[in-house]
Amino acid sequence: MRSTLIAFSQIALLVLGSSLLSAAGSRSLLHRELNLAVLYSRRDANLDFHPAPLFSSIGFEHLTKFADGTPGRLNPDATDLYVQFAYDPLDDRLETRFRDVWIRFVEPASGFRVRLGHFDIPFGLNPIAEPRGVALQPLAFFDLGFKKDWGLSVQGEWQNFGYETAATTGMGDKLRRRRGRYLWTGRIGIPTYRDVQYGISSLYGVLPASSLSRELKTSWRLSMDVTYLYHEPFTVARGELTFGADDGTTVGGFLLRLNQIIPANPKWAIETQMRAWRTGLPAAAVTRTEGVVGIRRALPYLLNLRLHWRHYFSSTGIREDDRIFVQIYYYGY
Amino acid sequence: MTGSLYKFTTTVTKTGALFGIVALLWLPGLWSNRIEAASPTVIAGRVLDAETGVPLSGANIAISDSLGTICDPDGSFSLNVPPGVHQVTVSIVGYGQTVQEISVPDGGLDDLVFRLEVELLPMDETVVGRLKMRLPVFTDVTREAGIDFQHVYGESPLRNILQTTGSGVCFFDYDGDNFQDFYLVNEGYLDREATEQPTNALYRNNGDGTFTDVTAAAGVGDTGYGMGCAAADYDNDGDMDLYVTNYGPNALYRNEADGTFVEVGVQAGIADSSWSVGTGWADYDNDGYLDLFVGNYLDFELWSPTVRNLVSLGEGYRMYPGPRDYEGQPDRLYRNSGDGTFTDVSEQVGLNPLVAKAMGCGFGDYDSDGDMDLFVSNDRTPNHLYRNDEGRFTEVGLWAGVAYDEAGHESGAMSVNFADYDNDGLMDLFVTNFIFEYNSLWRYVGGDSFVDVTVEADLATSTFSYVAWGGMVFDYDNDGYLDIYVANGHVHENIDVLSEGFTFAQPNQLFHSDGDGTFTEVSSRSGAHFIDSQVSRGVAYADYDNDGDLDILVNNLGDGPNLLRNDGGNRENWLVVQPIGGTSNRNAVGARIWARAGQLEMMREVHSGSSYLSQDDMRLFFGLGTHRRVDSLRIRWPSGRIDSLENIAANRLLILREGEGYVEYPSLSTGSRPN
Repeated sequence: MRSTLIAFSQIALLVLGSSLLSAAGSRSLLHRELNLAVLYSRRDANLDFHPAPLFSSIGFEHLTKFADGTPGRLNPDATDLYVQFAYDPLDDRLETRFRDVWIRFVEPASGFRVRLGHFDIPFGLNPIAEPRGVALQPLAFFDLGFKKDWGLSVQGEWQNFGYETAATTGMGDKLRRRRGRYLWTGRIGIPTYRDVQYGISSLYGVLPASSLSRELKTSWRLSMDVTYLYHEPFTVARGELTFGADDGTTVGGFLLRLNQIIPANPKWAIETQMRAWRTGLPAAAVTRTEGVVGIRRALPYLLNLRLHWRHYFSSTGIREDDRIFVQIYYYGY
Repeated sequence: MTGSLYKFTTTVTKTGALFGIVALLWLPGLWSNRIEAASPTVIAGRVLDAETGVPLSGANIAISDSLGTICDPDGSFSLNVPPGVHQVTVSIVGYGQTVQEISVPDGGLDDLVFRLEVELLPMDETVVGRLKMRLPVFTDVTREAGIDFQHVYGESPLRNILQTTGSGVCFFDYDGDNFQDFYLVNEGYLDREATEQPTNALYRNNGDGTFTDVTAAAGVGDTGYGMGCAAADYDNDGDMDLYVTNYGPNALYRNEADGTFVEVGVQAGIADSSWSVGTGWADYDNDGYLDLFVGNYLDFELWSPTVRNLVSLGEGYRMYPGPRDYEGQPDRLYRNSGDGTFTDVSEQVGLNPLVAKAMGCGFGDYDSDGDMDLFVSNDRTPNHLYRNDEGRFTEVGLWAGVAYDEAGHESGAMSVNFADYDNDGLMDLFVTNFIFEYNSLWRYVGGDSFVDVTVEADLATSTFSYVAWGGMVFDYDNDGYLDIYVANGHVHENIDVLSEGFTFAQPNQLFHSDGDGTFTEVSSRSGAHFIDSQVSRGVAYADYDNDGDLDILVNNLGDGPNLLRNDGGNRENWLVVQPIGGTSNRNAVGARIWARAGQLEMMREVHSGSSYLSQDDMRLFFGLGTHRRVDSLRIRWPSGRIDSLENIAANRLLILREGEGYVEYPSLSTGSRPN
């Protein structure tokens, strides 16, 4: 109850803040979201109507773009408030999930930007304009357990490269900060509008040892990522390779993704992904490996239907499983 | 005594000296007072080019440091001066200064004529690319010209692809006074009745640099959700008619020759109710009557569910559906029956069933066989190049190499311009494209083949990051080589939230031809317009002030237009040719003219409907550089007749009549009507 009140208070403050800033000739868009997902596990022989991390949910996103500011100083540039409300069957309550909650400032002449709030950390693959409702999850979910964090980032351009670095709290998608956590991330790479993009990124911080643990670990990572767009958006190939250490234990993983829209019938797309993460190299203490093959079909009324077959490979502490994931997704005005 | 005398003499001398000094100090003041006390008289006259007689707008007339004036656009001046003898200094950039002594009687003078000789000033030249030159600049004179048009796309923000597509602008002389008027197309509100909609606007050129909104009086205030326009004398009655494309029924405004129009789209059979965009007139069958092509875009229903695919929208993108999310609509070619009606001959001549998603269109005789071919720029579908074989069209876009961009993608193609950019006598093609696709310059190499030379022409990198709409290939500095203007602006209002450094409003661009097949971007040194950002769409050029250089009008989405006056383009010599058909269609659309001045050889062709949803001044402009004469000029009429002229003086309007000869107008600014 308390966290729900806190969440709604924060939403109210952000909306109020946006409204006040809106006075200076801004434009805004409100999107509505509906996500209905169900997961069938062959091993457990059950249906899960709240499969993590894409819980069935309703939500909205409110984007505001402010008028051009004055060169030579930071001006309010944009705000984004993307919130989902999902039913949490474990706690039997409605959970408020903050996806994007940020305000951005820009120096118009140089394009230097400062962002404050909850956003994608600049580490690993980052899409140019992240589509909502994507079922293929990033490698960071296997590693850190989150891809978005609360904090502050700065963005800019250096010669032909774009860079972003962020100082965040290590809270991830949670609302309550635990003492001692922090995270620094940074990425430099080819701008995301090129057909071939690549970048390197790094991470250093103190994070929970596991999602259920109160113990902390000191982590660092180095990552290389590459994206190849062929006849965009028909073919998108992506790869990410990460290695690092948690309290001296070497860790690493990779992600390969290939999405292909069928040119002859562009209402259909094929989605494939393989990702793996190992803790303890070269002899793995824990290994998580997942392969996904699926199809996506566009429907009228801005709906998408998705069907995925996911295979979880057997490894230490993890039993082999096949899962069928079905999703109906709406995101529109 | 001697001492007293000395003292007296000294006193007188000192007093005299003091008086003298005081008198000297007062003397200029006395003179000045006397001048001011006299009644001023008026002197008036004109300043002309000594060789051509062209009035020199903006010439400076100076009597003294504080007394002078500047000539009006017609070269005339008037000035209050006192009677007497005065030394007058007359000067203007590009001409030698003249100093004359005039005697002004009490009644003044009203017949002064100063003739200035052309003289290039010994000033430092600006170096741009491989050319040395003094660059003209474009001055935004929208407000001074009295233009208060406001483009409206509906309630902000943009919510669908319809809102972001329009609109165009057309230059044409609707009242036959030899000054180019213009028509601005407007969109409107999606949820309001016709009575609450903003209208398109017709602005009459007053001939003095200002315009008057005559929309209501002329009866052309179309309230449809407007896209493009093209003007032509389709009924060969000597005045310019107007066709307007809409999302919904299109309109044909027949000129009644009394300053008014009558809408006859339905009676004429061309009130196409598809989502029409680019349009253009040409006599495809060379029967003497102009036919009409209408490019249709998407099968878009405002209130119906989005027929959506995954290509442009993916899933959950924070943008409205794009062109890939809708089916296309078939284009139409309407044959002019000659009696005021048209017949849809699309299938008969081979246009259908090639359904695509048209944006712009342009007629041009690329294969030089005497009939007008057609290029249709399509959005996310292959472009179509229709070769005209004696009235039957064959689609050859793929074989010609213009269906896709150089990477083999269906680009988001927008504007179409047929023009001979490299002065090789062959018709080349320039097409603007979406962001992350550079604009395409295709050089015609013979047969049915074009070669993409965008990279070699240095036009690729600088156009990659903009969504380009209107494009013009025109000689703005009269050096004889065609330059390029591109109007930019994104389609998503919030793109700057979602992407890396891209903005909704984007700067427009000007590329100067280096004369060797390459271009240099000169935007930053061509006026404030190119530094500011706009969300521009249609653009057209015309010499609206008849001063011998090409001006620009830009229609901006959800904003006022920009009328950009060319200042300095007429420092170089020029020739304007207006062909008038006899056996051929009266506008002589399709007429091709070759001009040679010294080593400079140019080819121009009369077109109706060009750029993006727009139309340029249909007169043909030849920049002559330093040449003061055109050695030879040859015209091939659509009828096939060929006429030739020789030794034509520069800086004038030449009106050619098919089968009759020609008339020269030494000055364009007279406003007289060619009958």
